[in-house]
Amino acid sequence: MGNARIKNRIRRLRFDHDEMTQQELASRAGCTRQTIIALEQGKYVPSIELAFKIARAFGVMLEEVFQYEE
Amino acid sequence: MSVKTYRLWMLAITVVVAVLVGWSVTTGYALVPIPVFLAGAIIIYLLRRRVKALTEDERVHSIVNRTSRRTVEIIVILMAIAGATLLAMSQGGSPDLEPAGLTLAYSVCATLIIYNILYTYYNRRYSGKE
Repeated sequence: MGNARIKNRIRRLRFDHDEMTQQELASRAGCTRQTIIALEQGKYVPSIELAFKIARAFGVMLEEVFQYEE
Repeated sequence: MSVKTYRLWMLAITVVVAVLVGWSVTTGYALVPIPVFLAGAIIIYLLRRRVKALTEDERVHSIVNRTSRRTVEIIVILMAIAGATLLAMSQGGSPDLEPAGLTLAYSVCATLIIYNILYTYYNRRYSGKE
């Protein structure tokens, strides 16, 4: 389930968006708060669909949220 | 309805169903478990529809997938070992153990057949055509 090679900037982006709460992001992305917590801690890699929803919730491109490390 | 209230209701319904099924088993009312199970499932389904917050998402589904597969694997192995042991013991002087051994063995076969049917179905459903 976890994949350390895919990093994300969700925590940073939440902070940059007026300290958006995990619950607020979860509601916007259509997932649970526990999933946001798991994502921030790098314990879960989302599906493409959820990744797009999270990026859309922040109003940024997918690559600005998730990065694949070679 | 909040998720917490929903979970409390679910717990209460599960306890009531378990008590009623246990009572029916001990008293011999064989037809009680069926309506009780159905009523419990329907009530939980209706309560779930009243929950406004999201209770599950793809991560939960992923966990459920893995949990289900591991459970099947563990149960099938344990039942196969227990079934084979009971059948062996029935051949070695305890014939009354044979029905239990056969029940376990057939249950393992049924579980594997259902698993393979469902696997084939979902594999076809989520496969593209070449």
